[in-house]
Amino acid sequence: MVDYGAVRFEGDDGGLFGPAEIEHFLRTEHERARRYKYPVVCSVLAIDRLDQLQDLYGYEARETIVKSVVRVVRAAMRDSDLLGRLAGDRLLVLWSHTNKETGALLAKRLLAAVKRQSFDLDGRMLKVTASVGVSHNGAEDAHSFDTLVAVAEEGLLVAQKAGGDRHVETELYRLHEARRRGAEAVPAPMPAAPVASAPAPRARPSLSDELVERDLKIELLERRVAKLMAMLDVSEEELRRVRSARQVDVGVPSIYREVQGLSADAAQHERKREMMRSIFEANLALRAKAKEGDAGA
Amino acid sequence: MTTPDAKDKGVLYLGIDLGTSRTSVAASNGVRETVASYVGYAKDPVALKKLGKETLYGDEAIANRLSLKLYRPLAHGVIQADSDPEGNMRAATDLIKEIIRRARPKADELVYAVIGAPAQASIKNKQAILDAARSTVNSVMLCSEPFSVAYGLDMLDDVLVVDIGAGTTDMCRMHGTMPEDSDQITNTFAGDHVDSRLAELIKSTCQGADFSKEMVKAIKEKHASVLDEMPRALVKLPVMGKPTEFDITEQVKAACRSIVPPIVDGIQQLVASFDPEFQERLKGRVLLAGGGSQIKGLDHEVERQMHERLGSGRVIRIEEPVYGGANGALKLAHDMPAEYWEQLK
Repeated sequence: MVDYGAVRFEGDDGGLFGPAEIEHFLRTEHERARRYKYPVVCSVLAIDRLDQLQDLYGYEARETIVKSVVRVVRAAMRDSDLLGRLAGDRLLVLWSHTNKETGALLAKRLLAAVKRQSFDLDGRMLKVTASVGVSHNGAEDAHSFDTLVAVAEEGLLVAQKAGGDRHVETELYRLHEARRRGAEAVPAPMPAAPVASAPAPRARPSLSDELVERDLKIELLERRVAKLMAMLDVSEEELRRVRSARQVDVGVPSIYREVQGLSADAAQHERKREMMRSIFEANLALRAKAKEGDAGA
Repeated sequence: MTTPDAKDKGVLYLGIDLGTSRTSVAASNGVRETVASYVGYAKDPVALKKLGKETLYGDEAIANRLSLKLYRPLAHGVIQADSDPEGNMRAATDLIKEIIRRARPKADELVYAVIGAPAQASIKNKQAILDAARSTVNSVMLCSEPFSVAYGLDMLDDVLVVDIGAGTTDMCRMHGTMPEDSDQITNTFAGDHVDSRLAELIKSTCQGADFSKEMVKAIKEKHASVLDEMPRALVKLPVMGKPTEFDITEQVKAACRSIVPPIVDGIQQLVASFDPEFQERLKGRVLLAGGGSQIKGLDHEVERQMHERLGSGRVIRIEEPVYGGANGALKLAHDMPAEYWEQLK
């Protein structure tokens, strides 16, 4: 069962679904999708460093930002898609008739749209970014909507840990499906301590033991990922420092040809060509005079 | 024939407005930068250790000027040759290098630049600018500053451009062809003139006030206006070491207004010598450009004096005074056929 925490009704900022409603709709939509075999995508979106922003600018600023982001998300949705607000001001969207690829595209669009927003807080223009976790029901083990939400939540967590402003799909459907089944299963009684001196054949670990072991492995892997991310940050910072110390600048590629240039159909094309020729000839003459001067000297 | 793609491959086009007060660049990679036209070199090893680098530019150079041998290499829009010509030439070369560095060319890109020069700069002056640029770019051309402003705005017919810089005010009438010498007038009633006039007025009216050129320039940039009802210009200047408040509203207004009559003189001269059939049209299309055009109310004041002396006039201030010249030069650079660039390499 997904823990929705303190989900709130949002009657006055555009009527977001409340906890019971969103859960009901999600389950219904997921079941319908299973039955009629159409794809759905689940996204969980959170604004990066929202708590820190609240510490700096206050609760009202937080609400302003969240409501603005809700508007952005709403603008990207169709009428048939579902939106709910979860604990911690996370937003959950269920995109009907949407496959995995389109889901990733939508997540990118959402991130870009959030980034385009700017907020005037205490006279400072502020921009925010968001992170999105994505899951879809096309995966082999995406049997329940709880799994779908859990995978999306996990993606969100990874995206946030990686620095935010990105979307992640972890693909750990099997693990979350196993966890869900394990949680539903009745825990097995603790086995008695072995008394025989000879090594007994190793007993097959129970499902709950397997889950604990997997959880430990996941925790270990998450720690390693966090450590590698930190090392990457340090390396990038070091590279920046070395570049600036050695005044190495990789430069910016030219974009001009895509936006401008004198083409045959440009306004006053012939006249401009003539002007170009005049400027060129004047510069050529200037150079010739300079050469004459050098030769004279 | 060179296709547009082949022409653009690996080329960074730059439009540079090399000004007495500010040097601006607009680049084909989207970068736009401006820097105050000051270059400073560390005076001695102690200064070098304190600053951490030998050469400083722009506002950073001004802020650390006591530790630097400071150059303002351009005067009246050209490289100074009166005192320390070698030092000024080195500073101008370094300034051009710096502004090009700030345009962030990629290591493997060819750099083609168009530099705006005052309308009536001498051949020697133009040559000096080209020499300063040549070591940094692959190919370079000069063009008249007011022409580049008009070209950037696509206003090539019956337009009179008034480009008010720090050292010079360049006026140029456009009539569909390349402007000739008779189409251009340059005078020195520009930003620096306002500064020196303002300094004189402050000195004569604010008893005991102590100030430097940079302070006057900063005051002008903050309060410059020719409006009758301008906001009060209250400044604090030291008197015997004590900050003292002065109201210099009238002084600022008078200093700023001092450049208007010479500008209208120039406009009148260019209008009067134009084809009589098109004089009315020319008077109705006067463009104010350059940093000096940011003086509040200047467009209305020039317009008012044009009405008095020429019977009519319409003055428009361009949207981007600081980058107007650089934008136009960039457009020229990009529109220039590739073979011309090749020949000037």
